[in-house]
Amino acid sequence: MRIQTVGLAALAFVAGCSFSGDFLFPGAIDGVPAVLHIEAEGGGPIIPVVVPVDDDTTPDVNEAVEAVRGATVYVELGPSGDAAVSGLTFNFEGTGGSVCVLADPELVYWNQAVGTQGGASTTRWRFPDNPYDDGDVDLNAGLSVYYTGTEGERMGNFAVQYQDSLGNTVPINLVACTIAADVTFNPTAHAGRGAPEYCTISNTQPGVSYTVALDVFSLPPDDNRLSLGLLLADGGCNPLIERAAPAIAGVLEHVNEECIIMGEAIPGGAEGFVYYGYEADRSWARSEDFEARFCSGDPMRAFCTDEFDAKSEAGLDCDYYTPENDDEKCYCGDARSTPTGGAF
Amino acid sequence: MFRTSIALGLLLPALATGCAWDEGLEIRNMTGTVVIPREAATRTFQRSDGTVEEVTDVRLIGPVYVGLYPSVQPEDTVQRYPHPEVGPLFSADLSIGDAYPYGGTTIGTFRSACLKDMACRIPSGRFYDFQEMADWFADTLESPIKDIYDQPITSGELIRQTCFSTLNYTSDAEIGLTVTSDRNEDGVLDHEDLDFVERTDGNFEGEFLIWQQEYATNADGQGFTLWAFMDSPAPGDGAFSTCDSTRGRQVDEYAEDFRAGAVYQDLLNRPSVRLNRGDWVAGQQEATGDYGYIYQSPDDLPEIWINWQID
Repeated sequence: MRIQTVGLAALAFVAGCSFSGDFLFPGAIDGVPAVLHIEAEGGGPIIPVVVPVDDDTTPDVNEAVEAVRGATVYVELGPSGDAAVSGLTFNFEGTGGSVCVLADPELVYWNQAVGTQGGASTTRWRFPDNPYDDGDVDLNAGLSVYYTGTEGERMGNFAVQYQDSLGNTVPINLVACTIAADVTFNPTAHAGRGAPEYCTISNTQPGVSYTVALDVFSLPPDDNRLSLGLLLADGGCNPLIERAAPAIAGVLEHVNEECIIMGEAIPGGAEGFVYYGYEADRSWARSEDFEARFCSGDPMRAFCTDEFDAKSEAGLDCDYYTPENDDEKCYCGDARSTPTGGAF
Repeated sequence: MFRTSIALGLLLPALATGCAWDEGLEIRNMTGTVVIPREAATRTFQRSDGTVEEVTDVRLIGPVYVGLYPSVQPEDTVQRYPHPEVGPLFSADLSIGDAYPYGGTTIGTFRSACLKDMACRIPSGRFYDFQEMADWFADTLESPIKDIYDQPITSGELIRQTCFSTLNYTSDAEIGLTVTSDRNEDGVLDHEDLDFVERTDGNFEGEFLIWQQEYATNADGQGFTLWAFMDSPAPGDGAFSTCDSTRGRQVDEYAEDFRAGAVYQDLLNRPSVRLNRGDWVAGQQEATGDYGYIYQSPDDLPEIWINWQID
């Protein structure tokens, strides 16, 4: 009898070998692609936009901002349903000079400052963020010939196996751009949740195809659908950010990056989307105000308390987890769960 | 009960066999000898009083770097001097491909620069004591170490005490720049306990130790190739080009605010970026005719000559 018990236990362990683990991942969403390859609006590789310097000839129009808005592509990505990485690719041809790639996933994120000390750079983050509406993508780019993925089917990387004369293989990462910003503005890492990520590909070879690959690191937990804005621009990223950050952007230069691409938080429909160019009122209501406030350098508290008061007066509750309409959508976190300094 | 005992009796040995599983990794502490020709430890100084002096001294032997590479190519192949093979050059930002070393070590390291003027100038294992250090820079190089007030230091004890106070150390051994252990076990702490000692043939030799190195071979069983190079002290202040002055320990002490310096992180990957005229590398070895030392077994105890001066 005991042997039978041991045998049954052994069989139970063997059953674990058929475990897929798929239930650990959000399910694929019909109509929302997990892996997407996009082309220019008229087909073919995307052409880097030349962002002009605002010449002040038309005071009400910032030519640089307008150029960026016209060239921004908005897309939506969903989960793959399993461990496969979802993401997006697109190609462009080298110009002979530098090319800037900038990706801005919805929406913005900050760590809440709970300390009682600190100047304006700390106090502006006293109000909590809503982390459930933020996604994260990791940007990589390099020569298309090195890319190992399959357009629209499977994400890959730019790693090739180099074999030395002794016969041993060494993986070489042939990513051609160094990420210029992350959550701590460390130039060697990918940006964090909700933060724009960009890099300059220097000295691109004229006419040679480059691939930009955006791997989804995390989807917004509130709907498992990630909308993001993309920009491919001629020249380096730093001049672009200086030139095309809207006038509302404040003195904190790194925050300005968030407002190069505006309106990337777009409500999902029955199908995923690819939109070419910015369009007002396409995104979730007040989401652009939220971004603008983030970039302004002013405390988030003013926006967040207004949002909280408005909801309270209207008798509405924020649904942080699965908002389905503007009434339920809140960009700031729940102030009632805000810890005090030194407490948890 | 009996059958249960049999089952368990079979199961336990089966589990125990996992303990004898051979991962197939050949990992050793690899040692050997580096020989520096007398010529590499000799320099002619034009003194401020117009006289000329030729000095042969172990303190002219800069930090020595030892690396294990797939192969070493002859001069005028990768560089104008013998140099390890390199991988593909895939970025316009790079001047040379990566040599992809399997491992390596140094004989003499940059450490314990307790004054800004010491950073990247003093490798370990070259000075018997601090007075010798002060004298070397002041008298031989005529470029004395300066204190925080930019005044030349002539007292080794001042350097020593500054290291104690700046680094919060309590012994010479912690500072690690001078002789503190009887390396040759002759019962005396002396110059014979430095990293490099003069041999009877007038050349200098030092031992290297590469910790926990995984041994690699090709399909024919031939191992990787040992290569070595020496960073000679720069004319003038005696600084070393393999030292990155933006790295190393951060020293913040009153008016002092500097980095102590550390070896460039990619030095073994792209040695030619830091090698300059006057430095020495291992070329064709007289004993074998090979460039560098090619391992035939992980138990080899190689002797490698750094015998090619870059001109």
